[in-house]
Amino acid sequence: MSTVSNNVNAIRKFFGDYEGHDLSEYETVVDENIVGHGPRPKQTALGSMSTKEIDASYLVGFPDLKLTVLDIFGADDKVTVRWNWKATHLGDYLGIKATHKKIDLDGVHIFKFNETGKIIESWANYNILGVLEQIGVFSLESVQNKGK
Amino acid sequence: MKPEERISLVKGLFGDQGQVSKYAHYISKDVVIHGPGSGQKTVGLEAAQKGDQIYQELYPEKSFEIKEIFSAEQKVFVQWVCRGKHKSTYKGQPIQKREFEIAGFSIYQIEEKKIIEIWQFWDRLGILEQIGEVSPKEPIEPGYYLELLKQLGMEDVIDRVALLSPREKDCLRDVLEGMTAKDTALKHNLSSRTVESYLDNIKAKLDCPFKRDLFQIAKILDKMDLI
Repeated sequence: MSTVSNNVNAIRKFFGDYEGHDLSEYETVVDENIVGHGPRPKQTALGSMSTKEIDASYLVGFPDLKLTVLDIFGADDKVTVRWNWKATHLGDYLGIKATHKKIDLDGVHIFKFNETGKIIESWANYNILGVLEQIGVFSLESVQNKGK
Repeated sequence: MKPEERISLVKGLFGDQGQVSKYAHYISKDVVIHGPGSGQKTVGLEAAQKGDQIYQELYPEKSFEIKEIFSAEQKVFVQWVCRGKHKSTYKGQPIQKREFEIAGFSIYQIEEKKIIEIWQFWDRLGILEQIGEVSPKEPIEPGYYLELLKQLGMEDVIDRVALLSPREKDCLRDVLEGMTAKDTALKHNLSSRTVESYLDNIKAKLDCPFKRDLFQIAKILDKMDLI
């Protein structure tokens, strides 16, 4: 099997485990020296949190999350995934108390693998403004209700 | 098409970004563009040209840097950074901080040597925040932010703000100054209770359950000259 398809399979399994709240094999996929980049230019980690802690914090805030892979492909040492994330804000998330709002978000990641087949760098982009809109900072509900 | 050919097609489009008359060479007339807003969808070459034309007018000075590009199957992935400048002057007054930088990803689906579908993801919040760095004291042409918000799929914000009464807008500006309900009450010669009820109205009208979010909203609205 080619490296690319190995990497694609690793990401598919990683997403599946994550959706099932299973981080037990996290270290077999993610290198300990991973650098994660957020959607903002120059944004790397959130303070002193590790990527595992960040990923775990989403599971606490959004325990019912459904993570769907809409598209996945790769070349050389990179894999890109376009995903959809549906969840309810049921728990504390980074200090924000549960709002019980539903979130439906599309986004993209790219993952870079090292020679041992682990993720060494990742970049994410999604609609941050959309998250704020859906948590209720600018909710879309009124627009939807307007049509009724 | 080979992966290299697909990559060079997309690179060509980036090279001609903003020159919408050249888009037909790269983009199918039936193109479907997803994003950047959640659920936002643009259909057809003409609509795509119109959208980019608006950006071109808002940001005539901008350039794209491709950080990463690769292709597999019929698709091309691009990670890009757009750097640009806001307009340099308004009514003869120079604008202080003009530079902005936005990062994004785009995925292109290619069929019969043309782009047939595009998924785009970029930091819309970043644009709003960086807009604030255009000297907020200078008046901006009417319609400037409206056009931008439309492009960002956020027209509803305007509708929400329109629900606020002048008194409520005053209160929201005071929130931004870090004033408590008590401070605001003193300033406007009102009872604290009245101010609290204004704040509750604002939260309801903007659909914002928390006071800490209200501060964030006030910040964004203020930057867009909406309050």
